[in-house]
Amino acid sequence: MSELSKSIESAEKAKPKWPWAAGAAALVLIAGVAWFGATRAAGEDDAGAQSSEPVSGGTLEFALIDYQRSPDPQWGTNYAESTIGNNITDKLTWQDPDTGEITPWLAESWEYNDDLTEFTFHLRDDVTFSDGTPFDSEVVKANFDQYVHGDEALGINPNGAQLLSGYIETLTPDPYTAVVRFEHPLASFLQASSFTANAQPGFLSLSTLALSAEERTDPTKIIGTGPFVYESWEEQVKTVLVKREGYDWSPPALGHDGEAYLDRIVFNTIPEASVRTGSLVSGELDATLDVGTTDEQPLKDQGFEIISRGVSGTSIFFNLNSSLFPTNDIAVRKAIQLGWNREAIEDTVLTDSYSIADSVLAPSVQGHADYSDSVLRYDPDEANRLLDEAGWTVGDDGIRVKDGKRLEVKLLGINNLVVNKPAYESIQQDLKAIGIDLQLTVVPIPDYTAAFATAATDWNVVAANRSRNDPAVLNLLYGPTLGNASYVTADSTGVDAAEVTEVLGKLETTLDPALRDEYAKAAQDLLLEKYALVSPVYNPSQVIAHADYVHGIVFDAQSRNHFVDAWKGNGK
Amino acid sequence: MTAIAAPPAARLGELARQPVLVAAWIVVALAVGWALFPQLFTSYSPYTGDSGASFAPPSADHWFGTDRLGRDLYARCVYGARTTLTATLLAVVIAFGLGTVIGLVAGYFGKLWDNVIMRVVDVFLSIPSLLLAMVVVSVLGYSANNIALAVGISSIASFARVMRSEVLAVVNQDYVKAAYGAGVGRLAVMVRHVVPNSLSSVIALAALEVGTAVLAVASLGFLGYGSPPPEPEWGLLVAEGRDFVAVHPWISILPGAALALVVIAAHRISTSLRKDPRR
Repeated sequence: MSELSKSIESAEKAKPKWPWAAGAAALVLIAGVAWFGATRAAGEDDAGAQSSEPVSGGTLEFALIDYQRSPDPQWGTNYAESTIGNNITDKLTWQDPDTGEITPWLAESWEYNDDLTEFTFHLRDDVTFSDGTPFDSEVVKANFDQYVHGDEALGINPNGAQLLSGYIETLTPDPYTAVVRFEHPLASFLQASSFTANAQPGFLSLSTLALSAEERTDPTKIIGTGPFVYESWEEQVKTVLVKREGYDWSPPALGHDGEAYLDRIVFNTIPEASVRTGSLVSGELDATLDVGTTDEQPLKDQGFEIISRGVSGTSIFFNLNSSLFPTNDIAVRKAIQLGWNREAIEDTVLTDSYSIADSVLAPSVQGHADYSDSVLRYDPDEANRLLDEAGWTVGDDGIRVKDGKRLEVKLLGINNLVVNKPAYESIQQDLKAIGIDLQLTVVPIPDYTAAFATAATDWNVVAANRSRNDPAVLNLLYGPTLGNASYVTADSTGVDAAEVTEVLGKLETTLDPALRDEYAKAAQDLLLEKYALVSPVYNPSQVIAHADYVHGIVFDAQSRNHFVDAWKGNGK
Repeated sequence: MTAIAAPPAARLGELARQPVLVAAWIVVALAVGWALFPQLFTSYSPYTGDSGASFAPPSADHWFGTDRLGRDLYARCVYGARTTLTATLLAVVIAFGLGTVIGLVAGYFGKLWDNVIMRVVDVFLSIPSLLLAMVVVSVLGYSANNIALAVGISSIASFARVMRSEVLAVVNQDYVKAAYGAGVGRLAVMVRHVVPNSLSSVIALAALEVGTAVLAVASLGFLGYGSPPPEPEWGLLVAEGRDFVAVHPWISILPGAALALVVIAAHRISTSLRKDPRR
């Protein structure tokens, strides 16, 4: 603080004449700017804003909270990475966001054997990559091989190893037929072929697959078949996509023919919610994701449109570590489920775009069941009774103690969704009242990733969510041989690991809807009621605010956005 | 500071002619009161909110309004003073204590001591202090105490510099030479003559440093390096409101105003200490 010693030495000369006035002026200025931002009218109505015929051309300025850490779409794990990846690559199939049905895309049709171990896809024959090379069964094989096995020499992770567990090989009987084989039944593979969220199987050209992780940071070398291609990528600043000339194979279910309407999309990274909102209001942006909950209503009042879709997959969950004190005690886990007031969070934190979780599965996922009258209710008396019974006595500071150890529960969470932190703080308040000291560490994604490495031994609760519009997401996430998010082991007290493996594993054995519903219910019963391995919090939502001249932004089955059908009324 | 605590009648009159200085002392005294006896200043809990009163604007019931979870913001400010001011005090004590000793050793023993110590100090001065504090707190872990340590460590160098220059001026004074002549030992001269006569500038710097340290502590809190929730801290309170600044501006502005007032008051007091005519 060298400037300080200088200011001490020259204190006489540098005497500020009106420090109070200056301070007051600064405050007035801040307040004024805030007020101006809040009240300023929405961007001037452009001629043609109301027209219903799509207009080609123009640049869409878009904003989101996250940034793309690498342009490689198969690697990405955050919303920015998956959303941008979805617009430069295509998948074999498209899942209807309303019905969950799998519909054609790059594959025109498919069939599978009765065991669900062999899936045959018949590919379109008119698809090309943006470098002109054809999309065929060899490309499918090369992509899946690297997606599952990774490539150590190139520094490519096995991104799809969990999603495609038990993958053996892809056979290529002819250029437009690909047969994907698995060791064991994998009913969810059909959905995986349409998957658009973390570490997605979007097809890259053979030349891209030969690049190392380092070389894939050059966006111009990332070649996909998608409706847009990379123009530039500036880490932590923005990613720019331009229209792919000659694109003509968007999912038939979207009803869009030919190329994208927009010439260019700029994905700006803006970490501050108020800056995203301010930039939208001032006309710098045409649309923004991650709208602050308290900004939704004022933006609506100013003529902006709010569109949203609940994220299909799991709710935002508290995964309870069943192998770490004190959450290895089922009484503690059940008390955490019962001990917090859902209504308070609905009243203070959530808007209409969000909802309180009534299961670990989001309502839009097949097989979702409602537990709001069962274990997912607010019942502090029952929670207290369970803890009393288990021998937890209330200590001097109101926190319970057992065998001289305080009931401290350490939570690791991510601050990437605007409502996470306040929701967790509300739960913290309520749990304190029943004698549980919930300690929050809610950090940005990179810090979360670093801390997650020691999750099994350091964190009682990991708070996050997983996008995947298929009940098999439960197996992917909680299966003891897969994600094992509750750290169930063979010696977990009171939890039968073999039973968990079996019940969750059944989700992969059938595509019969009625049977899947039944298995999904059994899986939720086990995770929520029997072993209390998870306390779901709320159903996350992706919320976009856009100017009234923006049309056609699509939310897919994982609530990621596709811009092939998006257009601006002013065409600018 | 003792001069102000027990001012003679003449100085009381002088003080009365400086209403801004009086106001500054009142602000600081109030902040210290908040930190020491928060329960005397508010009956609300800073931790438990009323979910029915989410985002209430400032009113007679809630002077600063409430935050998203319905917690009284004035109560959070009052209790936040404890976290912020304790960290500030600790930071200043660390910087003052270590910086003074280092500066004294460099200035008094001179030569090699001076060269080595001052070059190290120069290196520290060349690093932006907030950056240095962030590095320290990243290494030690996120907590209010570590923030205090970090801010303290990053300010040691400026104290060392000021102390050294004061010591250099004092050691050449006649009374110091006279003490040597009278046969007083080197260490005794240092303790009895050099230290007391070098301290006044450093004390003024300490007062100024209080303002800067409050700001540094709050900055780190704002950036999320501070205490975990639900512990209130001034920087964190400002940060919590920034997403709502367009809709509910008071959440950021009122704690921010409290912070600004304390910093300005500390600066004003520091200036008055420097101008103390009895030096």
